[in-house]
Amino acid sequence: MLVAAGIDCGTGFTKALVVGRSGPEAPLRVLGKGRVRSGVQVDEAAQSALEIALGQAGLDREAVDYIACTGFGRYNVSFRDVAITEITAAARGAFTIRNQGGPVLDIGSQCTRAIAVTSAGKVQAFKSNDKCAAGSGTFIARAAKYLGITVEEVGELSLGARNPQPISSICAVLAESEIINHVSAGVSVEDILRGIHQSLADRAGAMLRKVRSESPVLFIGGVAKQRGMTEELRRRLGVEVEVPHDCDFVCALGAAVLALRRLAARN
Amino acid sequence: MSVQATEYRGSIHQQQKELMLQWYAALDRAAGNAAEQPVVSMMVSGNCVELLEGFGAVPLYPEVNALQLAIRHQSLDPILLAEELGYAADNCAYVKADIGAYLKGITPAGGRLPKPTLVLCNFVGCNTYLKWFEHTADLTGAPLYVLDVPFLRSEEPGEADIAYVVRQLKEVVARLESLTGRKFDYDRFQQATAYSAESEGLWSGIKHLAQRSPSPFDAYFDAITLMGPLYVYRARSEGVQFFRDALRELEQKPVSAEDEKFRLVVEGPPPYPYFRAFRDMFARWKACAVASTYSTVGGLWEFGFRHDPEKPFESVARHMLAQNVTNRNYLQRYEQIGHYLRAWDADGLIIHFVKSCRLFSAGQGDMREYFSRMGVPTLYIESDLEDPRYFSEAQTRNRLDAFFESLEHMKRTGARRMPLAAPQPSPLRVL
Repeated sequence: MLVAAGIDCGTGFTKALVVGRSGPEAPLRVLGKGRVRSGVQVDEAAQSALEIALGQAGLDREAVDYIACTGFGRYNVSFRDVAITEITAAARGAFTIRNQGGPVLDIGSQCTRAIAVTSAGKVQAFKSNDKCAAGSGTFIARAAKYLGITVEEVGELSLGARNPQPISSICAVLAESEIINHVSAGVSVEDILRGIHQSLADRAGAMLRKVRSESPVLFIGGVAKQRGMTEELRRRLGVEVEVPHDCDFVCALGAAVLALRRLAARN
Repeated sequence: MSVQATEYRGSIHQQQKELMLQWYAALDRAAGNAAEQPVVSMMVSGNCVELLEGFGAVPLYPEVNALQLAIRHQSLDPILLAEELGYAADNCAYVKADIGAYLKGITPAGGRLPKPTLVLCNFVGCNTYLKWFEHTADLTGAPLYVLDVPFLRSEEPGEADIAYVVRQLKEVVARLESLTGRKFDYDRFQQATAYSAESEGLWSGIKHLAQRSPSPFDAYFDAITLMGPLYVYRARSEGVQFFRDALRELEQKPVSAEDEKFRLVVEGPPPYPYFRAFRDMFARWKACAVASTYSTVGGLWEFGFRHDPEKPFESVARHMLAQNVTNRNYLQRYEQIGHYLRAWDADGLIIHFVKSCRLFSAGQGDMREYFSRMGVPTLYIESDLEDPRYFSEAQTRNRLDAFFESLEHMKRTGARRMPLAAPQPSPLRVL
């Protein structure tokens, strides 16, 4: 069996996925996955995530023949065989999941990206946020911290909103001021959170429109775990929004699949 | 993937460095002896350095000073000072760096910068220069002359426009005669235009070397190295000699097919505060810029224009009016880029949006759409030419990597590179 790993070195979390294929036509098998906080030691985080994935797979490090890294920290992983952008990795991961092209929305800690994927699984067009992290996971984390809840609670609480309050600013710092104003005015946490999701959905929707891709949208990245956000995207964009299982592992999956292809070509 | 040597370092680079240091030394001497050495401050784009030769005057380019500060990572402090004084965050960062550096007494080469004999605002395409040069004149106490160059409204400048600019050039001559007490040396002016014509021909030859595949010359990063001498020395024998040596050296430069994987056209200036890091992002992918619009800010010489010693005033006026990219309209810029893509056989277009320069950057989103619709792989990135706060290395590298990954895939699968071979209707006809 050919075994390869994809490691997505994101700004928030590092995700590793070990995959294998017993022959050219054999189905892809996910053998193990690992997820750790990235911190500042990218190489160590990648190592740790890979070790967790290998532990699940019951494999030794030597069993992995090829490692592809993606994400912001990809060039800092000393044991990689290849570095791939998360745009290409996300496109390949999305294509692997649904076996067809279409739009992909990837919202992680620092980045929001809309990618149009061709029917061959290639990047047709992409739009990414600039250096400002507004509209991404960090934006939500800041708001959660101020509201005294965990990030994991945000998605469900948002669903309970009755009268969502708009957050008009796209700047995370200014938005925080708006949140403070809402709290002072007695607005519920649920309504504030839904307002945040609305603001994020508007921003993401604008990006999706720029890559001019048809629905349904595959929503991936850590923020895709938040149901309130998914609901808001559906409502605002008027399109079907699919969230795959392990939505934050899609880039790692894409990198692993590309690693496997390179490995097969090499052999 | 290993990063290859990020730039070519030949003897011309040493010569360039020496020439530019000589220029700064001349400015330093002028600062110590204003009466003996006239200095004229002016704008790079559409500069009339030939006219200055008629007075033996040294040009002083605030933009060159500003970009030198940025390359040396010294631009932020002056920018912050300018902002403290009231310049807005979205004002031209060249202006803020220049004004802030003047007030702080920072100079790019460490020597003194003189008070200009004349602040000549040859405002070509950029109306921010009006305010910039007004402020410079106010701060230094130097006299100001605003040379109004009408925006190019047709394919070629009309006779009335040329006459209008020539009349002003003659006023500048009279003004400088009065300020310096020197008589304008017409013969020297004519000689300067002859030198310029020769330098321009050689420069054009260098730009055309990039039509070779692989190209021995990067018409963005290498071109920037040669642009200093082009603006300061082209009207002098040293400039002619420099460009003669440069052409010879580049013609003989060994280059292998493995050194060039992608051929690009680049629109917009580079992020000078991160010049090396930006260049490395291209070098990593063995991407060569075979043509660039930024290298035509000072002149569009690869399209045939030359200064004319038989009609020196008229040719200087023509150069100011029509032969620099900033005084031309957007559709003409489209045409220029389209021509590069075809004649220089490029794989794609990279557009660098400069956040603090709306005049150069406004409309680049439409430009991206225009070329994308024509099937040209186009990447749009944003930062600034002077302000380091606008540059985000990871994001920029990410976008460039993704772009090159796509181009690589297209090449590997034999996807049609671009359907530009068929002649496109001239965008000028839209007017």
